[in-house]
Amino acid sequence: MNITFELNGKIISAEVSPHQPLRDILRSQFDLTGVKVGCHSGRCGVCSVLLDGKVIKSCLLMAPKANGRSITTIEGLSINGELHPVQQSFKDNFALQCGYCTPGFIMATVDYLSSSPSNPPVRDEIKTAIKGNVCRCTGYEKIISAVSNAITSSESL
Amino acid sequence: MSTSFNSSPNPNDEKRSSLDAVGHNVVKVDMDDKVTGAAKYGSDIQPDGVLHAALLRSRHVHAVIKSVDTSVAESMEGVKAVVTRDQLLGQFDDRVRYYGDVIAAVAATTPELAIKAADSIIPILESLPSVHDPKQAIRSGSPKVHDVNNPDFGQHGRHEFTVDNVEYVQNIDDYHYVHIGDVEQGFLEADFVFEHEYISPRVNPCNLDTHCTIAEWDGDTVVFTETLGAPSRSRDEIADLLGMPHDKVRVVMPPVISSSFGARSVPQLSFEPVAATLSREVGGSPIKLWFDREEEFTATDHRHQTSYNIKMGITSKGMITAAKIDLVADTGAYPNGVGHIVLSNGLSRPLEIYKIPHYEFEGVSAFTNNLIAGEFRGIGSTQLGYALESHMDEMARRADIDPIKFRLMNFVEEGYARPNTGRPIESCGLIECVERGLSTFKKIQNGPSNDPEKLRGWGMAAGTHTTGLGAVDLDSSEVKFILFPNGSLVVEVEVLDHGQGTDTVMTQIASEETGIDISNIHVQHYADTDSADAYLGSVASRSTYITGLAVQDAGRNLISTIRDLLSPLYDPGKIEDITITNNTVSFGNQSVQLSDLFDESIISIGFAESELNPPAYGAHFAEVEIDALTGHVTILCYVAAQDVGFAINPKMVEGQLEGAISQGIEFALRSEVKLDRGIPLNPNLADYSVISAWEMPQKLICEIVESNEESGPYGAKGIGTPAMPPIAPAIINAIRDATGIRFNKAPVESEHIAMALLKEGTNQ
Repeated sequence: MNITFELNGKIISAEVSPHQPLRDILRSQFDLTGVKVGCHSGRCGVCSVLLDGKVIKSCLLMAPKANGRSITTIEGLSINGELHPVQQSFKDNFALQCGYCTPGFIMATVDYLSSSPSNPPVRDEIKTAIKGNVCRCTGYEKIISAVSNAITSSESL
Repeated sequence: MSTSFNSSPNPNDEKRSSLDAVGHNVVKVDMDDKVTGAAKYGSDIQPDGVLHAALLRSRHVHAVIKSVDTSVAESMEGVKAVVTRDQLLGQFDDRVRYYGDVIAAVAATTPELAIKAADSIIPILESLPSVHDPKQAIRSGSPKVHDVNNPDFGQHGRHEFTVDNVEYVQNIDDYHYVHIGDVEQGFLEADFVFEHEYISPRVNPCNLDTHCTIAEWDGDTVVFTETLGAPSRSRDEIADLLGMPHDKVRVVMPPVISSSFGARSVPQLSFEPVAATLSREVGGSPIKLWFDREEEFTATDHRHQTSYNIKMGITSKGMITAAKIDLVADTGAYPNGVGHIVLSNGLSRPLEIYKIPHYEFEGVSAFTNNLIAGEFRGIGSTQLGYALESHMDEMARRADIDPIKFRLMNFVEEGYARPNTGRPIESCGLIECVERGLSTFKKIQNGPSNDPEKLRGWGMAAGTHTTGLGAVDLDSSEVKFILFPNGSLVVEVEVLDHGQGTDTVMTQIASEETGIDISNIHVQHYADTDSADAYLGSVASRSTYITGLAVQDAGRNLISTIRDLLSPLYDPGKIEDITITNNTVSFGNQSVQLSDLFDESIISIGFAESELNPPAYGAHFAEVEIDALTGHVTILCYVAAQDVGFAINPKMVEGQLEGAISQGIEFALRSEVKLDRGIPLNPNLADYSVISAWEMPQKLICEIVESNEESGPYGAKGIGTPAMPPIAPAIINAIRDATGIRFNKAPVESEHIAMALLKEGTNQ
C-alpha cells in the first residue's frame, strides 16, 4: 500500500506493507540509519522518532499508521549544518560513548523540552523523561546532565 | 605515594597545569557524527547486492542430527543458498550442544525471506542426555558435552594442563591450581576461620547494537566487515576455526566501531563461519548476518556463571593467615579461550589486593549444555571481586571487626611483592581510595531511617583488575604518525574506540607531545588486519596504558625527526623546545614552515612494551534503602573512589565509572539470563532486566585517585574493567547491613529479599 507523510519537513510517499515497522521503512527506503535497531520490543529506544512532535518507538509503529502524519528523525534536527541545542548539549556534556543510543535519547529530550519541563531542572523528572531509553555505556549520569543543561540554556535563549 | 585529583593541596595540580592537552576534559573527538545520526555502524552498511542470512537454530540442548529437510527453502524464489550444519566451514559435527546451536542457514534477497526460508527447514533430531550443573558435569557419570577434555577449536590461550583433582575427570575446558605456603598450617594459625559459597549470575553484555557481520570472498580470502575488539587475534581464531591459513582471513572495521564490553573480543561460533560458508556458496558475494535480540541472548557469549567457595582464616586482630578458594565456572557448550582468563584472574586477583601468606586456589571451567560463556567487562575479576568482597565483609562482621579496618590492615601496598609473580606493586592508591571515598560518602549518606518499613544500610567493597593482559604477560603496541605539510597529523593505532574514548586519549597525548592542536589530529585504526599484525586491540583496559605509551613515543620520535631536518639549516644549539602549530614549526625564538622542511609527509613510528600490567584499584561505597514488605532496593547514594594512576581525561574517567556502576547494579540486583535445563526463559529486553536511569543511585559521586604509575603514560593506568569488581559487592554488603542477611547468590532480586525477611521475621 502507498502512504504519504511528512518526513523531516518534506512530504513524501512510500510503498509499504501493512506489517512493516516504520523503523524499517525509514532505514531501507530513505537511508535514515540514525534510526537504530536494538530490540524489536519497544524497550531499548534506539529507534525513537517524533510523531507529530511526540517521541515514539518506530519499531512498534506499523508503517501505514504514519500516513498523513509528520515524522522527524535525528537527521531532521540540525539545520544548515548547525547542531540542534540538544545535540550540542549532549556533545558538551560527554553524554555519549558508543553513540548507538544517542539519537533515541536526543529525540526523547527534544520531546521533553517541548513539554514545559521544570526549570530549574528536576532530576527525577528528567529520569522519567528518558526512562524509555537504554544506554549501556554511560550509566545515564552525563545524559541527565546534558538534558538538564539543555533546559537551562533553552531558558536563556 | 598516592596523590589525589580534586582535593587540595594536591601534588598533581602542578603536574596538570604543566600539561596542555593531557589531564584536561578535552571534548570527545567522535561526537559530531554520533549526535547527528550520521555515524555508520556495521549494521548500517548495506553493500550493493548484499544477501541476508538467517539461521535455523536448535531448540534441543543436546541432540544428534538425524536428517535435515531443506527442500521447501530451496524451492523458494529469492533464496540463493541453503547450507546444513555438515556443510559449514569449520568444526561442526552432527551434534548440537546448546539451545541455539546451528542446524542450517540460508541466504536470501531480503531478511524477511531468509527468516521464512530458515523456518521452513525441517530437522529430525534425536535427544541426548544433557548436563547443566557444571559441578556435576566434571564428575564421572554425567553426559559428555565433548568427547575429550580441552578440545581444540582454535581458541586463544588454549594450553595443556594436568588436573590434580581426581574427582574432575570430564567436560573440562580449563583447570588452574596454585598452592603458596601451607594453607593447612595457615588455618591452624588462625583464631577464626570462616567458609562460604558465592554464586554469580549469567549475564549478557546487552550491547544495543547486536552482532552483525558482512562476509565476502576475495579469491581464496574471506573478508569480514564487523567490529572485533582484538582484530588480529580474532583473525587468527577465525582462521583456525575455519581450518584456513591465517593470511586467508581479513577483518575490516566498519566506519564507526560498536560497543563491546568484551562481547566483541572473540569470534562467535554460529556467526563468522556461517556467514563465510553462505558467501562461498553464492560465489563470494557479500552476506549480511545480523543477529536479532533473541539470537544475541542465545548465541553470543555471556559472563561465566561461577560458584566460588572461599575459606579464610584470620587472627583475633584481623590479619589474614590463609585462604583457600575453589572456583567452578560454567563455560557452556563450546570453548573460546575465555575460561582460561576467568580462572587465571580468579587465581591472581586476591593476591594483588590482599596479603595472604598461605594460599591455595583450584579453578575449573566446565562444559555444560548451557549457553556459551565468554568475555564481559572484568573477565573473572568481576565474579571474584563479588565473592571475595562479600566474604571479607561477612568475615569481619562475624568476627566483630570493622569491615573497613579489616581491609585496611590486609591491603597490599607499593613495593609489596605479590607471591604469585614475585613482582612488586608499583602504584597502589587503595588506602587513599578508602579514605577519600569514605569521607565523601559520610558527607552525602542519609543515615538510619525512622520508618520501620524502610531498612537502610551501607557497605563498601574494594577491588582490583590489572591494566592489560594479566599478571605476567608481555604486551606491546606500535603506532604510526603521518605529518603533512599543512600541519595535520594522522595517528594510526591498533586500538578501537568502542566509545570508551581511546581516539580522544590518543589525540590528547599526540597533541601534548608535538604541540599540534587537537583539531588538526585525526586518529585512525589500522584499516584492516593485514596492516595490524600481532597487536591486541581494545581489550583488557590496555589501550590508554600501552598504546598511550606508543603514541607518546611516536610523538617524541616525530619531534626528533624534525630536529634532524632542521639541523643542516640552523645552529643545532638553538634547536630546542620544538613545537608544531598549524603549518609551522617553532623552536627557540624562530619558526619555519613545515613545507620548507619536507614535501609530501613525514612518518614516525612509536613502540611500547611492558610486562608490568599494573593493577588498578577502587573502593566503592553504597547506601541502600529496602522496602521491608516488597524487598525493593533503592540505592540512595554511591561513591566510587578509583585509582587510575593519572586521569588523562577526568570526565571520560567518570563516564567509565558511571557506566560500570550501571552494569554492576544489574549484576547485584537485576540481570540474569535464566535457564531451565539449558533453555533460556528471558531472551529479550522485555523479560531480561537492563536498568534505566531510574535504577541508578539517587546520588552518585566519582572520586578520582591518582597514584602516578611510573610505567604508564603521564602516570596513567586502566579504568574500564578495573571499575567493575567493587560495585556488586558494595551494594550486596549494604543489603547485608540493612537486613542482617547475607545473600550469596546474585542477582539479589526483591522477592529474594522479601522472602528472606519474611523468614527471619524481621518485618513483623
